[in-house]
Amino acid sequence: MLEMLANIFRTKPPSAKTAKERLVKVVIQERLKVSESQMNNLKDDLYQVISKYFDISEDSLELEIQDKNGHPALTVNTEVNPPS
Amino acid sequence: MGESIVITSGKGGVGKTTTTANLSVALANFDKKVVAVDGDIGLRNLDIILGLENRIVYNLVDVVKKRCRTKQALIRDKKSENLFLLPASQVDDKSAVSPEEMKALCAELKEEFDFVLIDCPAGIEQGFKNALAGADSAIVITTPEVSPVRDADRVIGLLQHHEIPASLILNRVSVQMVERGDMMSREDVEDILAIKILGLVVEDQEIVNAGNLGTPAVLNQNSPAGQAYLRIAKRMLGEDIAIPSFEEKKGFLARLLGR
Repeated sequence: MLEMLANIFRTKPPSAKTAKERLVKVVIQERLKVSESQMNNLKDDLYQVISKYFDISEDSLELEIQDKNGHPALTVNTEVNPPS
Repeated sequence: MGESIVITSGKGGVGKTTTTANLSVALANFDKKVVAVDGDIGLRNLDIILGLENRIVYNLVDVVKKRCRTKQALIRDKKSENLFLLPASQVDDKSAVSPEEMKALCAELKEEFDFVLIDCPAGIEQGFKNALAGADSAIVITTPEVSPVRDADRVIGLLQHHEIPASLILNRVSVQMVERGDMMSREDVEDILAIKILGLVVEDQEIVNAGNLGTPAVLNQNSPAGQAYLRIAKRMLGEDIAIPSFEEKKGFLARLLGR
């Protein structure tokens, strides 16, 4: 009840959740000790490989290291253009 | 044979020296023989927090360079006859001491004392490596903010690399902010760092007072942070004391105003 009333007077959303999400992301990446340049090289290589099979644009290719149940996971996401 | 514990954090200004001072005083108060070692060569502060800044004759660098005997450099605390300070040198820098020398020093101190608490400098460079060299275990200090937690994670990784077991003290927690959702909770920080938590210390203005006076807050009944340090010291001695959860019992208006 008090919490609800207090929330009515809030002007900003609570920030702790954002802090935790950002930290989990940063920490999981840093524990793997992968540098930005290594990630960029991997991205370049993946683009070359995937391009052999699909028509993709380099801009849409996204690489991210995420937390999957406490384990780091490499997520690769890209749009694929249908054959013309 | 005593044990040596390094108090470290990565990030500066999160309470390493305050924690070292308070835990040293508390452990000495529980009849343990304690030496507080200032590992921050060139930027010493443990002396002033303990109120012993006017008594320094020799320092840690003098001891490792054999310019004096170890006993000559140890300063007895004003109040406790169980507590001694080994001050850092203020005129040398981190390279004045090697990890091997620190290791030998800690081994020597452990023969005489039950606890050797080493106040580590900020950063992860030479001073950090020196402070770690003679430590059996580590206490990592962080506050619930993004940069100290990130740095704590880095330090925990380095401690694991050196095979030094570590536990965490979450310092300067504002209960009101946690309840508002504007500060990460103990559980949040535990989730991120995946490390055993030794204690939680609330934000407390008495810590500033204590620093001003050179009298650590741990023996002050009216200091919530001091009482938290006392509980942490008891846990270090093997007592099973739960970390209290902080349920606010403040009035409606105070809560609305965020006080």
